[in-house]
Amino acid sequence: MVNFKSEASRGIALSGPATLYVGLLVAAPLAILVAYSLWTQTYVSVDRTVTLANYREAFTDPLVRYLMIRSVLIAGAVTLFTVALAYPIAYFIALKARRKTLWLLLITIPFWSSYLLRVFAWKLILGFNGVLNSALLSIGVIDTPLTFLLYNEFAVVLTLAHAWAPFAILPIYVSLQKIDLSLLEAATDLGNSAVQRFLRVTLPLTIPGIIAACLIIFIPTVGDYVTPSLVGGSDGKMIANLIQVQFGAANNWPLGATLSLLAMMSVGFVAIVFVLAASGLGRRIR
Amino acid sequence: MTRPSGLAIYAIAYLVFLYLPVLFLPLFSFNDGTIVAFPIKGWTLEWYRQLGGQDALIGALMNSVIVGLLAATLATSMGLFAARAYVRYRFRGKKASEGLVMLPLVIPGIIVASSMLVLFISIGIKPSLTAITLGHTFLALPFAVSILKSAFDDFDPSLEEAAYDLGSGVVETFRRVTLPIVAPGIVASLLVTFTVSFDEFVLAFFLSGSETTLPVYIWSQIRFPAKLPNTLALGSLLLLASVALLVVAEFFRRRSAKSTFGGSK
Amino acid sequence: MTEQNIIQLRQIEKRFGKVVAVSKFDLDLRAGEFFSLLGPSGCGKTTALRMIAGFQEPTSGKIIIDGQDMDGIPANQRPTNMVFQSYAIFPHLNVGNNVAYGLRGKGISKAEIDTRVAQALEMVELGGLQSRGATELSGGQRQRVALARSLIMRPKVLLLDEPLSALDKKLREQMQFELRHLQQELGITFVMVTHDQYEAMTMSDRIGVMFEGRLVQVDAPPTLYAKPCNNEVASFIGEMNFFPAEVKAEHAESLTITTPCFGTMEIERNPNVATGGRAIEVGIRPEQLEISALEPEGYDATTQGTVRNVAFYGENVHYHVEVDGVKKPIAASVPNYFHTVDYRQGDTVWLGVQSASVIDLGQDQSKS
Repeated sequence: MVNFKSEASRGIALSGPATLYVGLLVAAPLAILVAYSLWTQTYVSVDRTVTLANYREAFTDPLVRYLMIRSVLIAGAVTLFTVALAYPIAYFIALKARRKTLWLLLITIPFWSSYLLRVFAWKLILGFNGVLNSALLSIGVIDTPLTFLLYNEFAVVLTLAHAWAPFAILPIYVSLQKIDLSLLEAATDLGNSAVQRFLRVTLPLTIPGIIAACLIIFIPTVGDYVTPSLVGGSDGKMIANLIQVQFGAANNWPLGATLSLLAMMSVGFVAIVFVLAASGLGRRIR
Repeated sequence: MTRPSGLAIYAIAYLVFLYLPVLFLPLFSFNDGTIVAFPIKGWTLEWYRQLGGQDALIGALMNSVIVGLLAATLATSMGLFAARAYVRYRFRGKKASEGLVMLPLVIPGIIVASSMLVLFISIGIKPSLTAITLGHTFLALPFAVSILKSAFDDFDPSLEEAAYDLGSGVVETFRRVTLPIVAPGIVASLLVTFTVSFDEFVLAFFLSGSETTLPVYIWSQIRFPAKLPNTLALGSLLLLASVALLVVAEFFRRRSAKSTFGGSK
Repeated sequence: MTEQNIIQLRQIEKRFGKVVAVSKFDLDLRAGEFFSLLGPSGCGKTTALRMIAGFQEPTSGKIIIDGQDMDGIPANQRPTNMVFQSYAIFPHLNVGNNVAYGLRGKGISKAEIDTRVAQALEMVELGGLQSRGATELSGGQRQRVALARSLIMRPKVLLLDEPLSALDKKLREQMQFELRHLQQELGITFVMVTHDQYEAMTMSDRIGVMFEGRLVQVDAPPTLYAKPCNNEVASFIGEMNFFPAEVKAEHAESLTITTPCFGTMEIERNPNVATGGRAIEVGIRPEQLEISALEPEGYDATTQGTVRNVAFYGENVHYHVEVDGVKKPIAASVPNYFHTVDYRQGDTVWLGVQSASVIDLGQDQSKS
């Protein structure tokens, strides 16, 4: 409103509290986590001698490696599954549906219900004596309850895909919404069939939305705790469960801190590789 | 428009997939039996009636409400200032600041929870409702900022100039023009951030001391099959509350968009 | 005149970092005149207006309104009011409360406010619409509310930032007339910013033309049209054919020149242009050229050419005539008296012009 200098200082002053709050709560814990990861746990106290023992343990323990890889694979499967299922919905809402805002509202409402309760609902549905088995039994489709439903990776992937669905739809919807409709008409006008047009115009233009959707699902699901705890059983455990144990029952915070940091790093690594690969692919399509 | 397209059918099937699992909770909360399975034995309100007598539950509920109110207020006030700065002013580091504030959305919950725990212990804050409130404010901030940013986006800056031009000072302009126009956005932000806090589990689970919140209480009940019907009833009420809050928030958000000419169209 | 100058701008300058939005200019506005700042977008005219309103502080220079130095006086205490380009109608208030906005909280009685609101709405022909919601108004109504809301403050100067640009063509023409009428009736100084030359010419007593932050020429519309101060102004306002010319002799009131196609003639000196140099540029408005199949009689200069393009505008017809020795085809405009288009592409035609219609535009800038 007035001159540049005071505009800049107002902007910095107004955004200051939020920036500082988030900045401090991200940076400070990170520093402390790093410190903890270099210490060791003796029975009741923390030994503050700097050592890489926790990292050695984390890298040599087959359970850690196994859970880490499984977490990444499960999150990857969830991402793939969710985004693939979400794209047609986003496409429908952005380009075909007449009551867009109603559809968006309908898609987002379930997301606002408690995550814990949604996961809990799947546990009830997939259980041995659960909703699905009892329903199938009572209409005579099966004679004995299906056992492969609950307490495995399948249950984890299904539950997470259900829980994160709206997160995949929204970024894709936004990128589809931004497409100038005359671009699609131009593609048709230049002789493209509907399928060609989709592959050559629509899809490339929505790659940023797809990347955003993938990241927004992949990153949090790698570190998910509730779903593997409730529906994962012993076959569906993920890295978050191990971390929680270190901070809880095992009371080994230094190892917990180390695992948190390693989880964060592997998430970051996979995410960066993915973004590079996806944007490279995006360029190739054209 | 003669027949629904394949896409429309898919979209409806997708909605069923989204809603059906969640709807089993309220359905079986009225079931006159203790296992969650078909066929339904009969209908009862007994499980809801029993909720009233559970002191631990009422305590957890009160805690959740207090934490939610505090976190919503803190996040919305910080978000209000930040959103205004992002929409109105150009300044160095704006992009970085905007990105940073959105960060809580994408950090895995377990990492936020464990790192907050070590931070709070290190600076002498014991696991407590205070710790949970601070953590929930952190998680709710991105929601507040994005809702309020869109409220300011629809706000023509010359409205404030017009007020100023007609003789109002800075404070009067805020009270008579800015606040009434942004108010629906503020209400929407309060409701949404409250809901985020009210439903949050992992962080509260890590940061709970002797006092705990409702989702952590529910977690403790899930393990006991005998308590299952009560948990279902409680969960159904919670779902209802969340959805009601969201619908009200959406109403206010729409109103904020509609109050400016032409709105989004 | 000085005591009648309601606004005096002295060496006003505005820089944004290294960019100069408004470069030092002086301007005196007379009490009760309708003044327009005209220029292409980005020329600094809106910045100049906002400095008068107090929304932007000049980097240097003085703004004096009604004899008072405005340095340090914020927008809410200046005797000016503004009609914004977007109209800035408060969406949460109805029409009456929008108009009453500036009067509230000033210790004015409710009855007095109501009366003045009613009067202001009558004035803009929205009488009785007090309780209409702000979001239910059409574009034209919003503009009227914005006007009433400013005028109720009884400003010494009303500032209008592109007030008609959001309206469609028909409504815009009607509002041009009404705004001018309102200004004359109230006798308040109006300062309008516009990029539309027709709007500026039809409404204003005087126009200030701005290019790239500079105030280039200030004059009444007819003078601006007949005696533009350079090539830039001449081509921005109306249409103009440009010709290079050589000065053969200089006299007190006139110049003897030769042009490639119209030969030698004596034209009036233009007091608005910088003099000097033998190579000058002259301009002829398309409607000042006679076009005919035979050589027209009674004209100071004639030339022959070929019709390259015919553009039919309805009220007149433009012929673009290619003439030997002139780079661009010459545009000649003929009023459409008889609903006929007399010449076709390829026809050979004569052009005639009176030396009084040839405008001296000063030193040829393309050659310096």
